[in-house]
Amino acid sequence: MLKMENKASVLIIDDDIGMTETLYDIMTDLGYRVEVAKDGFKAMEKVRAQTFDVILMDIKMPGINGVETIKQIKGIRPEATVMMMTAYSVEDLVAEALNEGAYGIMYKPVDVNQLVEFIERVKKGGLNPNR
Amino acid sequence: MSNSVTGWFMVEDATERYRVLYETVTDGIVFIDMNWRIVECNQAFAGMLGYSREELKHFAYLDLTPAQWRETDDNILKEQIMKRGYSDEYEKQYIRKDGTILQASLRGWLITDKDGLPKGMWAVIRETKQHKKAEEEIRVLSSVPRENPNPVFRMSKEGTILYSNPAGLIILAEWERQIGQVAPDQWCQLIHEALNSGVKREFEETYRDKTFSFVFAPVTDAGYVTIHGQDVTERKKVEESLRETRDYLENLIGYANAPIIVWDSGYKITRFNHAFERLTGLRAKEVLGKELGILFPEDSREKSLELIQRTVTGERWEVVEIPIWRKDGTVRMVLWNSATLFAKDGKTVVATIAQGQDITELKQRTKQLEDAERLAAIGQLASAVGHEIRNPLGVIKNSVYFLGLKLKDTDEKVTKHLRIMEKEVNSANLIVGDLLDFARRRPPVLQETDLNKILRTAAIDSLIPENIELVMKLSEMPQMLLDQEQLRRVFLNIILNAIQAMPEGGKMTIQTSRHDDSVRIGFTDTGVGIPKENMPKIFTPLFSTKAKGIGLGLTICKQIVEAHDGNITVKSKVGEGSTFTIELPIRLDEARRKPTLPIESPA
Repeated sequence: MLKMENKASVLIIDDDIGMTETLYDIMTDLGYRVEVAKDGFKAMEKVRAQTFDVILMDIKMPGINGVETIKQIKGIRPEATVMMMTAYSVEDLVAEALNEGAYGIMYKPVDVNQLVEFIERVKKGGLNPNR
Repeated sequence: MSNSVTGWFMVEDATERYRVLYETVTDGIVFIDMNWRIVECNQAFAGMLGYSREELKHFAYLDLTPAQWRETDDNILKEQIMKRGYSDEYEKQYIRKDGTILQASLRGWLITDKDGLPKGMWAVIRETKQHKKAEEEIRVLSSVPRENPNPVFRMSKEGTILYSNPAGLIILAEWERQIGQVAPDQWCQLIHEALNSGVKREFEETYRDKTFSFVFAPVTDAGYVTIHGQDVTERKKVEESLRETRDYLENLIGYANAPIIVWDSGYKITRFNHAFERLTGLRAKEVLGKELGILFPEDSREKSLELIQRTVTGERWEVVEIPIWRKDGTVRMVLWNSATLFAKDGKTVVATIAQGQDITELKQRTKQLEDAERLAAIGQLASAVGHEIRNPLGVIKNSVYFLGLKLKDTDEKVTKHLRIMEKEVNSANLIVGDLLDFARRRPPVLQETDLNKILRTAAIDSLIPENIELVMKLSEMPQMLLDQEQLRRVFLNIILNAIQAMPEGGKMTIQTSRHDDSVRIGFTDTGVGIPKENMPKIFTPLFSTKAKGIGLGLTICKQIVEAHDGNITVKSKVGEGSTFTIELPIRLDEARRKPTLPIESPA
């Protein structure tokens, strides 16, 4: 098992507790530092408190949705790498989120291997600078 | 008269007695001087000729006599009257005031003066009774043509106009000719022909706005021709109007857009218009005179004929649908209405005329519309359910992943079950993906793409079994603007179908080729093939021949290909295999480019 301080920090934002719980267990088990928020308000508290290597956020949430939340996150931390998640075909929301600076979109069910690969790339700083 | 007769005996004076006799006798008595001038006549004589006695006084006696009789008169005078003082009774003719002829018999006496010199003559004239009767008959008969409103002529064999009734005078006026003159050449010719042949001739001629039909009836013995004209102007007009109506109907039926057919009481086709030719692909000459039944497909022939039988028996035929054979073997559904034509008795069926409307497309469209509506409702439900199922599927998948992490070194069976769970979640997710793609057509997100690469990925993802030989014949492809993920799904779908069509193994050929402004991708399998009756349905939503599957795969393929402005076609033969061909346009249309999305899990 790798040392904690070398591993990426991840914030998971989703109103689906099943999703946050399972991802939390997987990510922590893989050695990541993981925080969970069940809505946009809770997420902003976490973002204000610390920086995350990767923020993983559901695009459709009660209260303030993913698009609104990413706007606020980018307001505080413009450098944040945000990956959106959705189970729905919400192209307009996806386009808006990308416009607001989201790095990309993952469709649920999320391919965990792909997600891990992504986090590792971010940590290594291997992301395409254009995106 | 009895008074006069009584009076006769009462009259004592002989002169008076002769005067009474002279005035009352029914025979005509006339006195003439030696210059043939009438000195005096009795009432009977004046009456016979239609003159008054005053008119006849000093009238030249010879003027009353037709020319041919004058010689007779002269001879009688010389040979009989002058020689012996009187004549025998002889026949001669007089001309009446109205120009007609009086046939009479007469006897003349010489009158001498005191010296015995001839001073004049007198004659007793009696109208010939037999002749009078015949003449009356002629007069009555001649009144028939006279009163006839149609022209009647009599013309001699040389064409001389001998007689014309008043109605015929209009025509003579047109000719500017009179009785006694010769008719126009054409008439003379017809008279000649009629007399020579002894057979009637007919001839039509128009004067001003009237058309006459003339019949030249030869009276060969007498050497003349009687010509009866008939004003046929109205009849001609009616004929013309009938002809126009007939032509109009003829054209109307012939060139109507609606198929029109007529059959007789024996169900034999008697009319078959152009639209019907187009409908059936049969030429009118191929069907005229044939049984109506040849137009119907075998399986519905009896039913259709039964339906039609009811029309022929006069029962009203409401609008009905009757299938019609096309020459190419297809069947058109035609909506019919008909009318039965009866004979004058109103009972006997003469013919049935039926007009059809090809509603094949309409029915198809209606069905498509119904299907579309039904599918839209299904789609909405599917979309809602599908999305909601994705969330729990995602959570299960995560759990399975987590368990996989935790139970890395556990026994084989647990690992196997974890793999089964993951595989089933993935396949459930694929079904949801199909449903969602179908329910909500996602517009393609176009990226510059290497088509051959997508094909290779799809071939790998499809996990082609070992008993199937995969042959890839890929030509060099241009960079194209395509939605990679959507096309990967299309290719995967077709390859998976091909694999399922070859349970015993076989050969799968994937081929690409470049054309002027398009590329073609062919997928050929050596599988079971698609039965002919299923061919039209294979792209239809919810059509499936598989035990598993909801029948959206090829529907989505078609949707996606068409969203790329391409088309997908299939050729198949049962027992030999199928070929699916996709044609996609080559284009690099910047306007259609959308922001590319870096990562997508298979939807």
